[in-house]
Order: sequence, then structure tokens, then C-alpha cells
Amino acid sequence: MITVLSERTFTPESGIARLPLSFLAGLLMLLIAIIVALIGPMVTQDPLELNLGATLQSPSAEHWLGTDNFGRDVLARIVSATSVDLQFGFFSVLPTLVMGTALGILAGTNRWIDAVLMRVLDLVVAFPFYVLIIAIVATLGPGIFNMYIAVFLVGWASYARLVRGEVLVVAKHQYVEAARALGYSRLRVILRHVLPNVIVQPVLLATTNFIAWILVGSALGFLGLGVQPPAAEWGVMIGEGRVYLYQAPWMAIFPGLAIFYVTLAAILIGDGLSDLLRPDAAR
Amino acid sequence: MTAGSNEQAGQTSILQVNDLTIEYQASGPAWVAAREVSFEIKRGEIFGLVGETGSGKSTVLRSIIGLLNPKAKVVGGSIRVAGQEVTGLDQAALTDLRRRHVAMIFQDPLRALNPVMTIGAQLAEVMTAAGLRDRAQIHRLILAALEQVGIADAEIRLRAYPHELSGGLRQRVAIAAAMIRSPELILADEPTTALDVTIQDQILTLLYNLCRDTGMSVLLVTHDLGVVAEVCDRVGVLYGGRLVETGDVTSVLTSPSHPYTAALLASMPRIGQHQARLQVIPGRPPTQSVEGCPFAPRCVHALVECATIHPVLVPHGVDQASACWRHDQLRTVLAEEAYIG
Amino acid sequence: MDSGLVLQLKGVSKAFRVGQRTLTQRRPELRALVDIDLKVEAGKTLGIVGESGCGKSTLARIIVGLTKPDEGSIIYEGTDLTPMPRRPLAAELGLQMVFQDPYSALNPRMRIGDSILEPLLVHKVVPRSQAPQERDRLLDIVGLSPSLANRYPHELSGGQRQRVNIARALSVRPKILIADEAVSSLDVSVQGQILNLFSDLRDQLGLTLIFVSHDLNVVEHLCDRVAVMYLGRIVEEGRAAILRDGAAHPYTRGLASAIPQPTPGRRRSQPAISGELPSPTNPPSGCAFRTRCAASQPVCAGATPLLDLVGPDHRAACYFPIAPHPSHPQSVGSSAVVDDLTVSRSS
Repeated sequence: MITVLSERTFTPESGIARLPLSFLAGLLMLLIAIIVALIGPMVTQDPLELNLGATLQSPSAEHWLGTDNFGRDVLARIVSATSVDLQFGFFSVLPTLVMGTALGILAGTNRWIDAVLMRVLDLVVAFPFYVLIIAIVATLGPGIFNMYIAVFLVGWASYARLVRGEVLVVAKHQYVEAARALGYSRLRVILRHVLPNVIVQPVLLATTNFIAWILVGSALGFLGLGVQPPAAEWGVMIGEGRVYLYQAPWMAIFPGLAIFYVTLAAILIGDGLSDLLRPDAAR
Repeated sequence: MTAGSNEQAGQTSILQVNDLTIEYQASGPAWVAAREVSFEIKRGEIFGLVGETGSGKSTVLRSIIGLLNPKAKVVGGSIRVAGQEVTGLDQAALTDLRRRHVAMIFQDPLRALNPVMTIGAQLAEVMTAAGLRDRAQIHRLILAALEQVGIADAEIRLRAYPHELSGGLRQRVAIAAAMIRSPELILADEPTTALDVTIQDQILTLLYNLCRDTGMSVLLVTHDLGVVAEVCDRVGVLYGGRLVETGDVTSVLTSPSHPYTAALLASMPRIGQHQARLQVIPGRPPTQSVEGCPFAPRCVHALVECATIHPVLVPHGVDQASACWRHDQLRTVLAEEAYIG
Repeated sequence: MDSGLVLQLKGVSKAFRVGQRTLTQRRPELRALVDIDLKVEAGKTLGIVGESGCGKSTLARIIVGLTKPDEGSIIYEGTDLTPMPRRPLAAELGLQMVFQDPYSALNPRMRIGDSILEPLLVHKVVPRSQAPQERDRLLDIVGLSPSLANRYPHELSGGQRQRVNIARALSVRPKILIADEAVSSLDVSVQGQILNLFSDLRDQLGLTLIFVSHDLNVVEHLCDRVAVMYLGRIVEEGRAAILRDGAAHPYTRGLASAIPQPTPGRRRSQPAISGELPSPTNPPSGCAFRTRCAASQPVCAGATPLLDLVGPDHRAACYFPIAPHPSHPQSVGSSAVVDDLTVSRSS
């Protein structure tokens, strides 16, 4: 009921020296990926150029990562796909994060919205995630645009639920009560006192979701429901390479490594971010 | 000390702590939670270990039963329970110690009891762990234990889950669980701090009576000198990891021989005492463990030497010891300080 | 009579429904406050004492406007606040609260200087350009160095955080400050510092202080008047001296007796008050304390006793109030009352 607090005080170090190594490493890796996406296509070969005389060639001086079954340069395709996949990751995560957080806050602060939202949430979450995405895209037809529709219909749910839970906890804290007692408007209480204290978890979720969405994009590509050939996308490439796994394993392995690389970057960033975002991490 | 005198000592004292030093490993300099702590508890005695947060009292308590935080280590000194050394015991020996000699009561009974087991089941578990098999006998013992701690309607209560009971009842159950094995020493870590005042009074009275009736000893850790006055026979005052004063309760409270004890007594508001402002101790408890007297920075009687002189508990009077090298000079001053108005 | 009154509560009641909703039954009702009457004079300190479940925190919240009462009126400086559809900002009216948990009461993501600056800016207490100075002045008043303004709450000790809470509450220049267990989470040696701060503020700023606590020692030291609560009602009320000279209500006596005092030789073989607190959703009929009271008689189970005069400026809600003793509250008189309590008293 009553805990007596320690009188010890705590002085932290500050500045960039304090940034966790994992965070910096992950950030660097992501930065490299972004540079590759932006500049890469200018310096590699044409990812769409067919060369039926040089199909399924193993890595060589001319084709660093080999060619695929249409003679297209694998490296060029991977580089081209980087932009596609990274974009899909970012543009899926950001809107769903914002939407989900906003809805979560509304649900946590308003009983009626909460009642409605929770039912919708239960509905969305009741379906297995991939089944739902695939069902939506299959119904609407393949392609990037419909992929995004599926993302926005489904992706907000996990954030909303997470944030709602956090809001319910935070709303009971005395500093929120103090803010109300000090006569702050509801908006101010939510933006200045509730939001900063519930934002950590969804941001961390976003870093893992970034990868999850890329994998979704790749899965849809693999299934032929996503980015349509001949456009390059890592999942599509893996799908195409699957058939030739024994003859030309580089077709599938290198796009797989690309996914692995970005996943690792995201995990490192998420890890580091979680330490960074807690000014009160207990020693 | 020979084995023979150890045994003899074990006859009258249930607990002997000598020069106990405990450190927390941390990145950077180690934090010394307890430094050269020495005290003794006789059989049948209630000993109060009093101090504020950070004084090291819980650490000392937990080291006796081997429940230290994994980052903490006993780096010096000895702890003897019933004549047997307990520092450095292996797991099997520790378990034996906990089954037969020492039991512990925690501050938050809700956390100390398993939320998914009825209290009857938990009490029974204590018995089966101790080797009893006869269910009828176990049942009888449980009922007797609950009655001993003042729980009426024991049969019905047995089927209750911890969260269905009030804080006071839960703590009684925790005491029953501790007592059911007839331990020689009970370690109580702030057992009433989380309870309401009237319930605290009940629990403390219960503990006191149980001790007198069964002859077991209690090491009671608390931050409240009032609790010490009402329940304890002897007391040890901890500050910054060091014992600054020990002795029998009446002597220590009426004529404290350490400036910290006196200052603590003076700073407590008391009904009937007329002061416009309370005597407060300026500053805050230490963040660093130090070589000299830990209280020196806040002590109004401190001299330059106090920061470097190695504090040692020096016995004086009939049953009192002080770690203040000036206690003789300050005797009358301290007694006055403690009781103003 | 009402001239010095800055706050008055009349017949304030508040109930909550607790537990999960079910299809068949109404959820049990918890009557947190029943028919509370209180008068607070300007510049004085009122102590509200009670254990958990007595309703003192709910009362504090109602006074400061965080909760609306179900019945009754709250009259502040002559104006009845209750009929207003949305309670005007407590800050504008001059009532502020200092909370119990110094850590939970500060936004962990705001520097403490900003926590104090925010109300200054939102309520335009001073012109914007002067706000930082005002913040430093407030920090100084509560005994903190202005250099701490850039720290986060977790970098400060419990006592320092509580000072920040007080500074923040003072920023809007309240007339009434309500402290809800404001020192309970602090170490003994720091409690004294904060208590002294409260009395200094009261003396220097002319604040009216309402001090909610379970600690009778603190209340008797700091307050002019005291109100003792049990299960949602005020059972005794009067000058703080009644705690010392002899309370009239058996509960207050028991409470005073139960509080540990660092005076050796106070050992009892029986606790001051036996028995458990009755369930607030199902309190005993009549006097709620009768299940634990040594002096309980059949009449106590009938109509609930109301607050009645038992001495000059001293009221108690009891059919058999104890006559005040001029000596110590821990005198033979009080323990004689409680000695024949049996362990199990059931309704």
C-alpha cells in the first residue's frame, strides 16, 4: 500500500556516447540499404533486360550475383527490389502506427468508442493475419495498390490494442490526475501527458512490423498476388528462384539474404530504441 | 572459537552475526550494502533492526536465509544460526536451514502467497515439504496453526484464495505458514508496513505473544522506531550499511548514544509533543558507502576526525553499544535532543 | 459564523458500483462517502484521518473537483459549486492537490522545470516572459535549487519529487491545498522536512491546508482541526487537541492507541482494536464500527448515530461517547475500554 522511496538520486551520462551500439549499427545498416535503393539503380544493369542467351549463369565478373531464368542480372534486380520493399515497409508501418495509436488513445479515453472499437478489433484479430491479407488482396486483385488497402484494413489493430492497454494504465497515474486538477484541457492532457507515455511500445512494435510488412509483401509476391512480374521484388524473386533451386540457387539465396539483412537492421534498431526511449531505465 | 564453545554459544544465542559485509556487484565501484555488521540474538528474544531505505537492513536479513539478490554477495564476516555457519552454504544445506531453523515473513503478503492455490493447500504444502504424509495430521496441524494466529472460522478460510482475504488476514496466514514448522528464528521484513494502523497493531501484538508463548526468536526489520519500542526487546540501528547503535530497547530509546538515533527520535512527530517545527536531519541518506562514519556529513556533532575514524561498536552501560567515538562526551546532549517538549 | 469559512461541505455522498457487470444482478454498491459535513476556515489546517476504505481519498478528489459527488453541496467562498454542469477549473478557483506518490505524480517524460512551467503558461499566471523566473521562484520556495529544473523525475529523490509536486500545485496560486497522504511514501528523516515545508508555506502564504493522512502523529502536529473517518462517515470532529486530550469516539481512541510510539514500555497483550474492517459494500447496520467496538450495545445496530456535540467544539457520532480525560490518550482510561474486546466479534 505504501512503499517508502529511496532517497538516492541518479545522474545519467548524456549525448551520443550513450547511444547503444546496437542502435547505431542497425541505423547504419538501414542507411546503407536506403542509399542502395536510391543510388543503386543508377549504377547497376537494367533489371528488366532479358538476355535469353545467358540464362541461369552462376556469379561471374560480368554478373556479380549471376543471372536468373530470363538472363536478367540478379544483382540489378535485388537492388531494384530494395526500393520496392523498403518503401512498402515504411509506407505500411507509418500510417498504421499513426492510425492505430490514435484509435487506441480514443478507445482508452472514451468508453463508447472503446466499446465499438473493441468489437471491431476482435473481429479483425479473429482472422489469422495472413489469411486475412491474402483474402483481401485475392478479392481485390493483385498489385501494390490493393496490397496497401489490405495493410490499412488490418494493420492498425495491433497498435490500437497495445496503445489502448497502455492508455488505461497511464490514465490511472497520478500525473494525469494532477494535470486534470490543474485545469488542463482534455486535448492537452492527452497530447502532452498521455501520448508521450504510451508511445514507446507502439514505436517498438513498429520496428518489428516494418520487417513483418516486408515479409508480407514478399509472401504476396511469392504467391503471385503482390508486385507483378516482371517488376523485381525480393519475394517475387524467391518465388521465381524456387523452381531453379538446384540449378541456380543464387536466384533465391541472394534475395533471401537481402531480406535477412534488412530484418537484422530493424531488430538492432528496435533493440537500441527500446533502451533509448526509457529515460527511467532503472540501474 | 572451538567447536565446543560454538555449541554453547548456540544454546543461548540463536543468531550471531559477526563483521558481516555485503557488496552489490555493479558496473563501476561496488556498492557496499552492509559493512562490518555485528550483533547477536538470544533465544526467545525479539530483535529490531531499524533503518531507513538504503540502510541495508533488508540485505542483512536476506543474507541470513540465503535470499540475497543475485547481484549481492557476502564478502566478509560470518553468520551463525544455532551455532552453524550459514554463509556459503550449498543449496541442499540452505533448504534444510529453511525447513528446520529459520522462516521468513515478507512485507507484502499478497506477493508471498501463491495466488492460484488456496491457503489450505499452501499450508499443507509446507508440511509435505517437511516430510509429513498423514493427511489427517496435516489437517489438524493446519487448523491449529490458523487458530494460533487468530483466524476464526479456520475451516472455511482454508478454501479461500489469497486475494479473497484482507491484508491483515493474509499476513496472519503468512505467519501461520512460517510458524507451522516451529522454527527457532523468524525473519520478518517490514511485515506491517503495508497494513493499516489498527491491523498493524494486531499483527504486532500477535507476533509478540507468539514469541512469548513459544520461545522462538524474531529478527524484525522496520523503519519505524515506534514498532521497535512496542514489540522489541533489543534493537540495532543501521545507517549507511553500518550498525551505529545496539542495545536493549529501553536504554537506546531513553538515552540514545549515537547522534543518528537521537536525531531520528527527535524528528518523529508525536502526539502531545509541542513543537511548531520538527527537528529535521538535513540532507539525505548516503549514496556512497564510506570508510569513516556514514552519518558524519549530516551530524551536528561531527568533528573533522569523524570522516576518517573507523567506527566500531563499543559496549557501554548495562546493555548498549555505540559506534560513535564521542558518545561518552555527548551523553547528556543526546538524551535531551531526543525528547524535546 | 460563516465569515471565516473558505470551504464548506454539506451532506456530500458518493457511491460507486464495483465488480464486473453480469446479466442478472446489479453490481454491489460501495458507499465511499455518506453524508459528509465539513467546515474549513481560511488559513487553518484541517486533518482528515482514517485507514484504508474510509473514503478520505475520495473526499479529497471531490473537494478538488476530480470527481463529482452524488449528493450534497460544496460551497467555496460562498458559491455553491455543485449545480454547475461542468465543474469550473479547479485551478481557477484556487483549490489544488498534492498527491501521495511523488513518482507517479510527475510525468516521467517531462523535465521537472517544465512540469512547473506548464501550469504557469496554460493559466497565464504571469506574463510569458516572466514564467521562467516564476518557476525558479517556486523551486526556491520549496527548497530546491533552480539548477534542478532540467532534471527528469527519476533523477530526483522521493523528497525532492514531493517538493516539485508542491511547487507545481502552488504555481496557480491556490487558496486551498489538499495533501493526500503527501508524506506517507517518504523516509522518516525526510518526512520531517516536508512537514516543516508545509507549515512554513501555510504561515508565509496564508494557505488553507487540508491534510489527509492515516498518521495521527503527523496530523496532531500539523493541524488545527481534525476529522476522523470510518467507512465513509465522519465519526469524530474537533480541534486537533482532542487526539491528545482524549477522543470521544472509541475508534479514534483505538486508533490513537494503536499508533506505534517510540516510547518504551507501551506493550499490550491485546491489540487496541480487534477484528477486520467490514466490507464496504456490505457495512454493518447502524454504527459501522459496532462490530469491533467493546462498548457496543443493541441500540448501536439500529439507527446510525449522527455527529453530535460531546464537548465544546467537539462532535462525535456515537451513542456512548467516552468522556474526555485530561491525561495522556494512552492512559488507563482508554485501554480499559478496549481490554475486553474478544477476538471474534461478528455482526
